[in-house]
Amino acid sequence: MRFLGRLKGINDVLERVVRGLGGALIAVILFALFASAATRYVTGIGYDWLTELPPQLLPWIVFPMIGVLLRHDGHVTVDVLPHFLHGRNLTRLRAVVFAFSTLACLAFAIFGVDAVGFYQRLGQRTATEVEIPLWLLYLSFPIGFFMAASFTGEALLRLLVRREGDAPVAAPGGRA
Amino acid sequence: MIALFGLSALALAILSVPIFLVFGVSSTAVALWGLKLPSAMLMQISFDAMTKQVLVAIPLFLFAGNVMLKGGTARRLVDLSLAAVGHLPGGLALAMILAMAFFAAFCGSILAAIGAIGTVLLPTMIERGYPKAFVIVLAACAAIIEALIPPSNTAILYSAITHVPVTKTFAAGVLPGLVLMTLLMLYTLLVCRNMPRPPRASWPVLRDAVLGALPALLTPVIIIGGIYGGLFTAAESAAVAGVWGIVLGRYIYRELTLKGLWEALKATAESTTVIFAIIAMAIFLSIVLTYTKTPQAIVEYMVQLGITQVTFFLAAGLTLLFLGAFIEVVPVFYLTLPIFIPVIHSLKIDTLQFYVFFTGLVGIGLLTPPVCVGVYMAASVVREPPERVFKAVPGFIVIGIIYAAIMASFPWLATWLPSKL
Repeated sequence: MRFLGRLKGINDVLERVVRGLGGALIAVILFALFASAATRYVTGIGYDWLTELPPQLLPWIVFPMIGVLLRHDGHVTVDVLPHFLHGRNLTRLRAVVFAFSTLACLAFAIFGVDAVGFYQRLGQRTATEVEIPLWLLYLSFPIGFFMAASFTGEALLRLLVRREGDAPVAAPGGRA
Repeated sequence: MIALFGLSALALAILSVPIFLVFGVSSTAVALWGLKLPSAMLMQISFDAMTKQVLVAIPLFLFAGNVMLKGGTARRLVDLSLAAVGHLPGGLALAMILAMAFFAAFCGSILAAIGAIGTVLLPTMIERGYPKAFVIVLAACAAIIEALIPPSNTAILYSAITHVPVTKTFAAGVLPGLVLMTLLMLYTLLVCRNMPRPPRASWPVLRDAVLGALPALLTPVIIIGGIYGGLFTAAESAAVAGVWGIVLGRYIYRELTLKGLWEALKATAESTTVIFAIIAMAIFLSIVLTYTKTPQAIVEYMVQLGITQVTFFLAAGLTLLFLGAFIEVVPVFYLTLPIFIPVIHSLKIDTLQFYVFFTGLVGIGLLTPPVCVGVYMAASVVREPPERVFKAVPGFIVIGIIYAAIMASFPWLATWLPSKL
């Protein structure tokens, strides 16, 4: 229980950071592209990096946020089976899904670490005006999936140690 | 190989594993162990798919919708629609369809439209005795107009997958969007003909409504005019729409607080993740299909069967209706388009015609249970259990089928406007 409490505390902090990062990066994308259009319209001069930067920021919004959405039941699912299950059977299904999600996220995180190492050794950079090392973009993948494993692991543990009267753990599906 | 993918994906989906993991795990397993592809290559492909320039417009149009929702724009559009058509039979429902069409020209998100317009109009309609199930499903169905009238995130996705210029897909959706709007209005007039009719809005009321909505109505002029005038790219136009949304909400309507703006940014990051997580993982399926030459095999099979355009439209329509009952819009795009596109090329069907046919039917999937996110969203606005409104769904499926039949029969509805721009 103490471990679960600590894990929850860490994940709460991670979630705040990830949400803040996501909102801030959306603002950067918004103003970069607005500035790109505005400078070209006003001065007749376009800055390539203003249009090239925003797509490169998307992975740093998406992958870290994947875990937050898994934690809060925010991803798209085919929500059929949970409609037919109740009580203990539904809890078992949730446990299976959270366990599977944790394993899958860990596997993706490990693949990601391998791939980031590979691209770091290659030294490849983006073909943009401001060259960014590819591994720096790809790093969002393993970091995001490690965090996602932490979030789903917490959800699984909460489900396993849940007692009568505890607040329900988010269903694996539901958004759909 | 494909059978392995199909079986594992089906099993995971039935267990209600999130769809992005269904795509990711099934395709990765086939790619790594079946096709012996390196994991580094898969990751590179995933990042390439996510970082396409055109796709960056999606979060920005989502943001434009979110910020206009919090900034009071939606209410002005509803006031204008009520003043324009509120006095007709079923006037409130007609006003909702019209307001959805207006809102469609500002942002690209179906769910944002249901939230923005439905929140204002649905409680009033129910209070005035409109059939609850009908108006809730109508809100979800009217939002499909959002998917057709530009700027539309579905058009951007379709362009990203099929490499058709987004300016073409945007233009292709205009007339079909108006056709769908007309069909929905006719159905509404039929169902709500006996509803109480409020008096016609006086000229001062109509004038105030127009003046109130005027700054908001400039938005589509800025977006569409900017794109087709050659001033902006699609992504830049989305950014301009977002910044204009902030100016509208904060300085013109004075309803957007800094807290609201920050919430809109965070909500956009969440919605972006839902869509892009699927894009990042679903692209693995395309790799599997490419390496196994599945689309070519399907095309050859269809050629051997002597399939015609009509039979293809029928088969594709049934497939989309079936998939739409279980899967959401974005996964359906990535699951079916890599297979459909080579077939429509071989049958000489116009890509834009197929876009409007496809989008309408995929949109109907937002209504068909058990997985009907549009109905869930509209029902949650008025806190109604979704299962109580399912009885109203079949009528709208018929509307969707009529729409699809029109699109399959009259390709010029999709191709005429793009050819003029």
